[in-house]
Amino acid sequence: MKIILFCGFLGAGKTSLMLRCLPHLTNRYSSMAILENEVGEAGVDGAILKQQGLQVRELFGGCICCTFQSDMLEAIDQLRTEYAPDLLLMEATGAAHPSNVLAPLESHLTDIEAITVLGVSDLPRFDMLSQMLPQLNGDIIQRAHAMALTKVENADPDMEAQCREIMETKHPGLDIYTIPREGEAAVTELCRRWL
Amino acid sequence: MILFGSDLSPTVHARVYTGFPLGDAENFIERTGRFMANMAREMQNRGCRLIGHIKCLVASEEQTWGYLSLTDFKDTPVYTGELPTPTGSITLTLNIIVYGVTAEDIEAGLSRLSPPLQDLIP
Repeated sequence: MKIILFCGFLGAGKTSLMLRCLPHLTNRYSSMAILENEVGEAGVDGAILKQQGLQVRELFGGCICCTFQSDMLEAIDQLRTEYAPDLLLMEATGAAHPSNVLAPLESHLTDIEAITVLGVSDLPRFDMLSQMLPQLNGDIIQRAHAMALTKVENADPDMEAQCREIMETKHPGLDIYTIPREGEAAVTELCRRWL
Repeated sequence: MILFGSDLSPTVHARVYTGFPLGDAENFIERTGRFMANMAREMQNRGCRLIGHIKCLVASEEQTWGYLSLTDFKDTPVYTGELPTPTGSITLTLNIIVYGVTAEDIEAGLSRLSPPLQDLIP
């Protein structure tokens, strides 16, 4: 089984990007499951993903990087037993530090083929979040294999170059994709390369 | 008010509104979005410094239709999904994740703004 972990701050567009990636994945993986974690008190993203007819296990009201670590591992074991997926898509909460999600995954799931971390960052809020939540923002950039920049249409024109420069300073060689609201070319390339 | 540290945890709160008769779907979504924007301003007035995510799921018994999403005080909520068809009743699940205010602040804001939401339903 391969795992793809979507990380990014609240409202960055993780669920939306996952939905856009799904058509590219269905012909490459015979079976997929989703583990959806929301910090909110009611599951919203899980309901949206279930609407696509996918096998979704929801964990909401806590975070898999801290309070729900053991629940996360238990949920993955259940999904593997019930569906034996060859791809597990995981969406962390927008408050999750990917390092704290990866540590238990890597120690518990020793037979995993690969874990890919896809970071999602909404460009208009990148600067503000870098200042307000520097540890979280930094951890996402440093642990991501690839970063997706979203909501680019709402950002200042020079913001993208600044953001890319900061990300490349924190994580040299990081593969960064600009994902416009319309058009699937960047999503296609991201999926081809990393998912 | 909660003061900011370097990396603080967000305050989360949810409320579910059930049984809305759906009239003009476009109007319904627009008005729900306006309620969310008002709620964001209410949070700002109560000391909120950062919106994590204010999201509202629009569903009926039969299916999930879509969701409204708001991440910035100055933005208008964006709706993603299909417009609900005018059958049955609608359930709104509102998830509020914000920084710098307490759950009591959110609850007080909801209590202040929710009655007008009920009135807005066509």
